[in-house]
Amino acid sequence: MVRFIHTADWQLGMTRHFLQGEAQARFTQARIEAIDEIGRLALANGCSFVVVGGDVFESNHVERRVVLRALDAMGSTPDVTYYLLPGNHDPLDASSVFTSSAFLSHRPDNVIVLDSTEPVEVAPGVELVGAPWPNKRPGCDLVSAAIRSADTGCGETGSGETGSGFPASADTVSGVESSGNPHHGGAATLRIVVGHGAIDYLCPEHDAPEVLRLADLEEAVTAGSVHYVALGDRHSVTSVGSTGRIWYSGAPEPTDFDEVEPARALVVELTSDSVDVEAHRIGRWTFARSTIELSAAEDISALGEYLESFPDKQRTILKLALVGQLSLGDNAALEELLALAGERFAAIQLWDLESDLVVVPDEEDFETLGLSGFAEDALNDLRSLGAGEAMRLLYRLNSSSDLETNGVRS
Amino acid sequence: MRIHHVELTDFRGVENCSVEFSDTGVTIIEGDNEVGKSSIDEAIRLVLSERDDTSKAAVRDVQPVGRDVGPQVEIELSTGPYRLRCTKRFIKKSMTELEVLEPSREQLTGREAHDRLRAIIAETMDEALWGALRMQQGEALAQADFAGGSLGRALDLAAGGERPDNADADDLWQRIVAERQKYFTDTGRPRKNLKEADEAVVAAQQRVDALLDELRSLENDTVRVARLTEEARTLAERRTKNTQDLEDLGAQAETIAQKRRELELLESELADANGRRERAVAQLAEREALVERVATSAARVAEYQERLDSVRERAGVNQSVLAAANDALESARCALRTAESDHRRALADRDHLRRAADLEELSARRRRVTEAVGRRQEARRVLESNLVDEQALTVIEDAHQELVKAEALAGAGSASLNLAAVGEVEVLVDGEVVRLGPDEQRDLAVSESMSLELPGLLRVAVTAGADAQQLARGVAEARLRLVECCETYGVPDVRTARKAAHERREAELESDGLDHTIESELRGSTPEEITAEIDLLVERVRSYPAERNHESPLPSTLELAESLVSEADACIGDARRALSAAESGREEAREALLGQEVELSGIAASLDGARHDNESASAALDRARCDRSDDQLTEMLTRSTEEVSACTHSLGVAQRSFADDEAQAVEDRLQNCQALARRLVAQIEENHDELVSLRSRLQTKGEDGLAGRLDEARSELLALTGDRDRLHRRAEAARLLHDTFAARREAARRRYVAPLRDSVERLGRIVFGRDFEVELDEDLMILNRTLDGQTVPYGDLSTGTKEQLGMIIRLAAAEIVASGSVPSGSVPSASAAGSGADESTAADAGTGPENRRTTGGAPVVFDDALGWSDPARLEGMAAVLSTAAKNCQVIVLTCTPGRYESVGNARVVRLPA
Repeated sequence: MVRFIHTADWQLGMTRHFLQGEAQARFTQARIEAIDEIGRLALANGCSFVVVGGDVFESNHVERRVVLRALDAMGSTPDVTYYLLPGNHDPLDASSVFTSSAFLSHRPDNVIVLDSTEPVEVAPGVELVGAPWPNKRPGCDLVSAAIRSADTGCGETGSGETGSGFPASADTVSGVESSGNPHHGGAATLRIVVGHGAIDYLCPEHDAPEVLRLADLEEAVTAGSVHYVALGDRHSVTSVGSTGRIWYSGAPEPTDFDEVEPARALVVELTSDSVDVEAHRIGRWTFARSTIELSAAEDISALGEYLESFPDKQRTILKLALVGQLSLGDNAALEELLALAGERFAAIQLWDLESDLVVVPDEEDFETLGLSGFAEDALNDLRSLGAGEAMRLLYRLNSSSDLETNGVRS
Repeated sequence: MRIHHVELTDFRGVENCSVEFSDTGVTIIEGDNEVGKSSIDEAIRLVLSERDDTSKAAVRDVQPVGRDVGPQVEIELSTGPYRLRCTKRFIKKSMTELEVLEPSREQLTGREAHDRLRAIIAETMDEALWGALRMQQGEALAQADFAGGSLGRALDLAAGGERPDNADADDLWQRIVAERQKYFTDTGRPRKNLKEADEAVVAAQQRVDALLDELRSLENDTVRVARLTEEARTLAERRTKNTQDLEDLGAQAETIAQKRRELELLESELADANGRRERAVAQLAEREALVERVATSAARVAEYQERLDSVRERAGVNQSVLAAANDALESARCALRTAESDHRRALADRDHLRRAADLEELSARRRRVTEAVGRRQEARRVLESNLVDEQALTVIEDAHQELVKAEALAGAGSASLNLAAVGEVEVLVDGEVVRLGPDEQRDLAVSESMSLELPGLLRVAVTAGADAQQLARGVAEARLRLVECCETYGVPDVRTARKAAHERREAELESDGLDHTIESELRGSTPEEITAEIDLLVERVRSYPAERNHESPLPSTLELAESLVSEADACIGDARRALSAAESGREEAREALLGQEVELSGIAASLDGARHDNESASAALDRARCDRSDDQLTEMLTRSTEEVSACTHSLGVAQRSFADDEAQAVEDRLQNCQALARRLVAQIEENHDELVSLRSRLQTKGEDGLAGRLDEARSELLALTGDRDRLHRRAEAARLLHDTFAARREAARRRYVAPLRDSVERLGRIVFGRDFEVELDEDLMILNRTLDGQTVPYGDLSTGTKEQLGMIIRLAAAEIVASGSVPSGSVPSASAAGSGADESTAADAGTGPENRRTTGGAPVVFDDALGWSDPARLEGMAAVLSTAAKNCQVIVLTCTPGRYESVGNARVVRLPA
């Protein structure tokens, strides 16, 4: 039995353009702190090592401080060994961050780069087979290739058995145990393959040559030559296929709005015949997006309540699509509300593509504006032009309190 | 505002002055300059605006000069709903009292009073309009500024029909303008902030692009490193194979080299044999050549000998030719000499014959000379004997004439006797016998005395008187002289003398002719010389035949001699030609002989040479044969030829066992292999160098945090783009808002310009006539005036017209503001502008007279205006003032009352002097 942590896609050095100033700094810091959190998780669960399934760094050309802080964070838990796989963001090419002087000269002993497909024994009877990305366009399914090179013949012989396809049953998993690892002297060595990349199963239309082929992986798993495939690239926690032994761990901190159950790391307890994968929350940041219908003052207060409902606003990045029609007065209130929210949240982003908010002056606006004569004519002109922005400006200029300084960034 | 009453005390030059104003209608305040008419205007202004304790220069200026008193102004006026009375004293004992009479009574003093007054003014009056309605002397030419303010509002009202919240609308408009000005200049160009935002985005984009480029180049480098690494591997493999190839080929090449050395040895042996054979051949050839040389030289000796003989023979012949030529030359010379001698003789003969002819001629001449000399002597003799030359004849003739004359005189003076013979008779007259025939008569003159005698018979003595005697003596003397003359020249009488003179002349002529003859015959020579010459010629002619000494006869004539000379000449020419021919013949012969001698010596030299050759060749042959006989040489050749064929054979055998093509192929491949090795080394080096340099570049660049910076730059770009877009949206909104408002506002203004224009035209027609029109711009300025269909820009109008229009537009504006509306209805003509019009205007505006009097607006003040107007216009303007004053208060200050005397409903206040 071995227990370890499967994580991936740290993407250290990533920035989010919608984060302004200190928010970006906190976001960056949070991603380093996630490493600490993973270390704590490992210690708490008795894991002796952590596999990082690629994209440790956002790029091979991240700033040095990113590298150094990451190494420091990992080095702070010397009892836990980190196995880092170069992924498509940080491939092991000539400019690899893993061969940079900063990395090499500050790498703590408990940080090991899986720089070849050579199996690495990480514990007695447990070996890791990495499928590092040698460059950004490897042109083949690296994981399958790694499996084949680590255990030639196994994959070949196994192909006939799984020819009938999946899902594999529990019996099949048991069968793996009996027939596994003929080349390792009979004693069941647990083999964990660490890989990175999109998988055909989840993006069938993806026809790039480096797409991982689920069939090959499942075949290896079914054949018992591989006991766990730790994958990276997908930021959402995902169990791939039906074996239960192929997982995307997701990113430890969320990076985008479309991620499902991100901010997790997996604690994997593995034996040759069983696997237990448990997702633990690591990240504290939230990416959220929502479409808000607005047509009356009540909707604005509802939006206020919605905003209020977020527990950790300073670590929440909220993307709003505003749809509907508002009067000038209500729009002013909305702007005020969003301006305040902008101060409290890490970011409030208006989703331009999805937004469709029309501002039309109503009777109340006219009353408030109290325009007559040519000014009234002009306002009517603006209304027929649908010049919302100009009308909002007029509203602002006309009202005693100048709202301009509280303008909401959109 | 309407002013009812003003009182000035100690104000500038005015000690005390009180003026009551007409509520409606014109108040004309007359006064001389400096009397204080302008002071009234100023006092109204000061009392309404300045605090009593102000220290402004404008206030200090109104203190009377040299008097320690405070200027004081009291005013009573209505404005808005208020009617009030205010008294202020400035500077000295300053004080303010305000009494509000309507709508509710208030009484205030001091600062409170001033503040209340200001509040009321601000509440009810448009001070800008008030300023615009005051027309100072000379200011009229500048158009009144009505933009904004209560006139604008009144016009807005007229245009919109609804009263807007004026202050707020203006304020909003100002804010809209200000908002737009944040982003755009007045001309609509984007301001710096917009441009800067755009530029910032461009700059950020450039930064992103630059970083992207860098990153891309980094990635290219990375890819290149991978490719180079692969290439390095391939190169290493190829290098290994190449090294193996080199070894294999090297061994093969060594074997080939061994074989080649053996071949070379055989080849050199063959070469040696060939060399020996060639030497034998050469020696043999040399021997043959030597033998040949001996033979040849002998033949040449014989040949030269033969030629020498032949030439010598020919030289003998040529010598005899030369001798013959010499002879011919001698005879030619002889012939020439003979010809020359013949020639000389012919010449001598000819000369001789010429001399003979000369002698003959000379002799003839001498004869003629001699004869002429003789005859000349004869003539000279005549001349010597006859003395009567021309001169002598003249003397004689003269003497004769004298005589004749004396006789004539005597005849006339003496008595004359006429003898008439009856019969023959002899009479003696003075003893001389005079015979008279019968009937003959004779006259005798008795000069002195005369005696007649008839011989025998009678004697008659006649004596002349004294004169007759003298005359008779004269005759006698003349006769005597004649005789003497004749005697002198040896002639008896005149007649003879004449004859002698003739003879002498002929002798002279002859003598002269002979002189000439002699001279011509002598031809310059003296007779002696001629004689000498003749003598000489005679001698030579005579001696020549002897001297000639030749048998040939002398030519008979000179002509013959001459032809002989010519003949001899020709003979000489022939002889000379013959001589020169002979000479050249001899030269030819001599030269031929000379040539042969040269040839001879040449042949002799050749002969010597040939003999020498022959001798040396023979000697050499002898020596060579002594050294090695001909047979020996032949044998050497045979032996070496055999050696050559033996070597050739063994070489052929060896060559057949050696495949040259194969050897070449091995060598070519070896060379190629070596070249490839060099190339591979270079490529490996190049590959390695590039890898090293790329790696080091990646090392430095790759760890530069480019990705982080790119992210940062991208974020910045996005943020800046957002900023820019927001800014542009706001700017666009501001512009749209502004433009929309401006368009509406201008449209409204254009609408409200119409009432003012109508008013101006209504009033203007009073002065200018029915077809008077003006056009106003949005700022209520007059653009142009049309009269009689002629449109003239305002600037081109006369000063007087400008002034009149200035007054009219002020009056029109005041009317509009005062009524709070526009006088409606059709435009009344000047004559129709009566109280009825007034009533209808008020009624149309929907306000009563009371209301109208207390609404806003301000009095129109003209300070000495209309200085530029002619009397006709003045009258018109008076009507205008009257008409306008029905609706507003008009105050006219003037020092020339005459200008306004036509104003009908005027109250005139005359200020004391």
